[in-house]
Amino acid sequence: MKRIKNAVFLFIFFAAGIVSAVPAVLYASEDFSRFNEMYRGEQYEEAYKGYAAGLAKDRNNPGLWYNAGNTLYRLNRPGDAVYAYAKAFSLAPRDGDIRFNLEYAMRQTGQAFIPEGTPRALYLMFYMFSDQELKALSAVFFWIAMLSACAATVFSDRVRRYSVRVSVIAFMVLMFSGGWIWARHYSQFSSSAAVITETGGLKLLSGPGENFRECASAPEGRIVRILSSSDDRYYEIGLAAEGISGWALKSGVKKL
Amino acid sequence: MSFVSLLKKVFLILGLPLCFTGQAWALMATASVDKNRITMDETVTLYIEVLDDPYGRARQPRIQVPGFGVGSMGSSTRVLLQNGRMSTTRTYTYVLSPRLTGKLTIPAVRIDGGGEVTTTQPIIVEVVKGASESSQRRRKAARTGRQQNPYSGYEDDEEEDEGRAPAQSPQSAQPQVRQRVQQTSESMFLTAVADKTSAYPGEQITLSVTFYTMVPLADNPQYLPPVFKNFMSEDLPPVRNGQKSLTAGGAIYGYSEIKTALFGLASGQGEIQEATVTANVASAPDIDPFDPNFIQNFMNGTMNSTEKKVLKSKPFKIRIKPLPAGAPASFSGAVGSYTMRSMAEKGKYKEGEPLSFTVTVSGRGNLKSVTAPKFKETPDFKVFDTQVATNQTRDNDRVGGKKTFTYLLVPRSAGHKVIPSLSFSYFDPSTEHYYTLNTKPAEIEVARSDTASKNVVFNPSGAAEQVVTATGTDIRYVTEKTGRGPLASFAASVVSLPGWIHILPLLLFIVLLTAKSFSRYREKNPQLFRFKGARGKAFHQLDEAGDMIKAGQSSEAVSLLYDAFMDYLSDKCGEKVSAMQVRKAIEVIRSKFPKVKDSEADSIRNLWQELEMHHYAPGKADKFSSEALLQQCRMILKMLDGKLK
Repeated sequence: MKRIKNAVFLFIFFAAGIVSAVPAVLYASEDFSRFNEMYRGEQYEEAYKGYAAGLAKDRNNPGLWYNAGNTLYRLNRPGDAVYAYAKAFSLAPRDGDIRFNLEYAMRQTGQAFIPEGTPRALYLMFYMFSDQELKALSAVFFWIAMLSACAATVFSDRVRRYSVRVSVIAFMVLMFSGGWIWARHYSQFSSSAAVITETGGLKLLSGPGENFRECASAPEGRIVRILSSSDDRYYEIGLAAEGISGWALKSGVKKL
Repeated sequence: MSFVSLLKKVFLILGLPLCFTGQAWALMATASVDKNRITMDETVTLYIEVLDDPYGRARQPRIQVPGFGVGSMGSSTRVLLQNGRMSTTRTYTYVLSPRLTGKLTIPAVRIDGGGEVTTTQPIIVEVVKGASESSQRRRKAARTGRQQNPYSGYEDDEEEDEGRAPAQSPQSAQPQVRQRVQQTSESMFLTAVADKTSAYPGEQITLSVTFYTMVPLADNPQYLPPVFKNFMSEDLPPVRNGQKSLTAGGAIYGYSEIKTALFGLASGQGEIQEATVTANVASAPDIDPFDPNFIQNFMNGTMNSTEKKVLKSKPFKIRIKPLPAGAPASFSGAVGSYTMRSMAEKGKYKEGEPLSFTVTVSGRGNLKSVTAPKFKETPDFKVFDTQVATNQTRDNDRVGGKKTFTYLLVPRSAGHKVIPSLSFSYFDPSTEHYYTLNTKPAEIEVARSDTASKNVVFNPSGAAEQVVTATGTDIRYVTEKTGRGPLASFAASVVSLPGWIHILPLLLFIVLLTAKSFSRYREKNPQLFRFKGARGKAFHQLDEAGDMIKAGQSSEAVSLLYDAFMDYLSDKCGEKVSAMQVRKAIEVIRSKFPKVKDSEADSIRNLWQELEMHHYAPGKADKFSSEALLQQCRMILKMLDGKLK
């Protein structure tokens, strides 16, 4: 029993170590408030520069992405605004404000946040956790599964039985979260998605070069899927709703 | 019939028609004028008649008359049958506009009749200064009867195409054109003239680009309109065509005029850059019958060569004046002259059901700058999007029309409601004043909706019923949350860990699993592990015995040597040999390890007996004998280790 206590203690100690390794908030709240005041005073350009400077330090701050998206929307840059909101959403999908503004900006650019025919509750559940949270969840359950399996090899009888059960449950959760991550990889806001930020939209060519024919055009703010990024200057992008794919200049597209 | 009479008949049949044909080809041409004395502001008509050309072989002569501008007026043909003989006369008519005074000679005109050439006689025309009676009469008529014509102050003889609006060129255009004709004697030129030199933003400026030509063109000219800076432009169709006798010498020019309405955008300078016309002018063919390419050129039709001329108008600037101060609050940039009326949709109005309220602004001015009068939010109505319909007109080259704004209103509640007055302000550049127009408030009765849900009143005191109504949507305000939530922070930390860390539990599991398996295997095969560990265990005991000897514990050392030797043999043989006789033990060893020789078996026997003796008679064990036994043990165990495998 003492060995179990020691193992549990070690695990908690390790987890606490990870949490304590969380980087401190990189962005001072005074700066945040200052740029919010600029936004309030309709100094959108200056406010955006402030948020952008903060994002250069902390790319995983959903608040900064959200506020930057607001300034970009006010500056009439819908493509960049959708991109910023989508980044914020991928980091903090349960935040109602972020979700509202992303949905609003997408509607302004002719897109639906929730695909037609999909129940809203189901869709929101699908995006209940961020990609990072899902990955962390998978990592934690992987640790639990492995450590329980270790305990099952070390201990005997009753402890072993409990350890095996925990390990199996943790492994099943791990498989479920892995499947969730896989499904998210092919969803609208996955890491292979991108937003067209070129002002006025972007023309799609039939090949990676200006000498190829224009085969379609995509409006600014449209969320697309990156099919190939092997070329230096062009992405091959796909528009799932229209069943169209084509090559577009990388400079006009921002990958999520 | 004799041969001579036959020849006479053949001569009569073939020869006589040939004689007549030869007579028909005798080409003749004459030239005549309607007047031999004219003034500078008159024209003279030149007639060239070509006689006896029934097959039209004679080409229209291209004439050039020194001191005159020449314009072709076309041709006509007259056929005459007289005394059984047919004669044709083709008349070519030209209008000559004098440019010089004095006695001018119309030279002999060369007529080419398809191989036969003839010439007309020269004619002398006297051109004198001063206006003739007819031109004075015309000028007077223009002053009195044609007030609408801006050209009325000048001598001109204008012939407009039928059905087209009269050209309303600016007052300043005519002197400019006349001066240009007098100075350069150009046969074609292009002018761009605006009716104003300064204007307010949004005030109409009419630009006239006119192409004048006195010579026939090979094809339609190409027009490239000017580029406008700080202007918004509206075309004023149609293109005006006609002929005009400009002041200088009464020279007749054909002209094409394109008008454009311009509206200044911001105060400052507006620029009208050059307009361009590209025209192909028919030029006299350079025929050289000895040219080796003559036949080819003839067949290709390149004998009729053309000359390309590119004409450009002069660019100029127009000052855009700033609008005067004191604009009303409802002024949003509309400039012109407008009226406004409003109308509510007729019918029964019900609470919550939309009704349309229409405001129409009409008049002269750029309607694109007219924006919808602002409908202020009221407790009575919710205002949805405003629909805009524009009907633009260009009557008399003035841009105007009407713009209709349809407001979609939804009564918030039933009862007597008033659609408030809307204000619209504009600046009239003709009076240089701002004007504000207001619609009349419209009173309507709104009935309670049959399907409207009851509003829940939370204030039982009977205060004014207020309903929460969404009036519009916008993005939500910026957030003050600077950091992440605990779960997101934990996730970020976990994800930021190096990937190899997450392999550690797997490695640990593999190690433990392997150890566990090894342990089980060992438990299942104890003899195997004793066999493999015999040597190490024995030498370990020998080392301990050596330490004991050094410590003076010889008896204990000998006992340990005995145990080590017996254990070694037992582990190797898998049987407890210490319980056996020496002889039996050696038999067992040799049966299990046949490689053991007799001498080696003797060594085992000797050591065994020696150790037994010292082990069971400890008094005999001193330091030296113990060390000797230790060395002997070491040697024999090393020797056996090579054999007992």
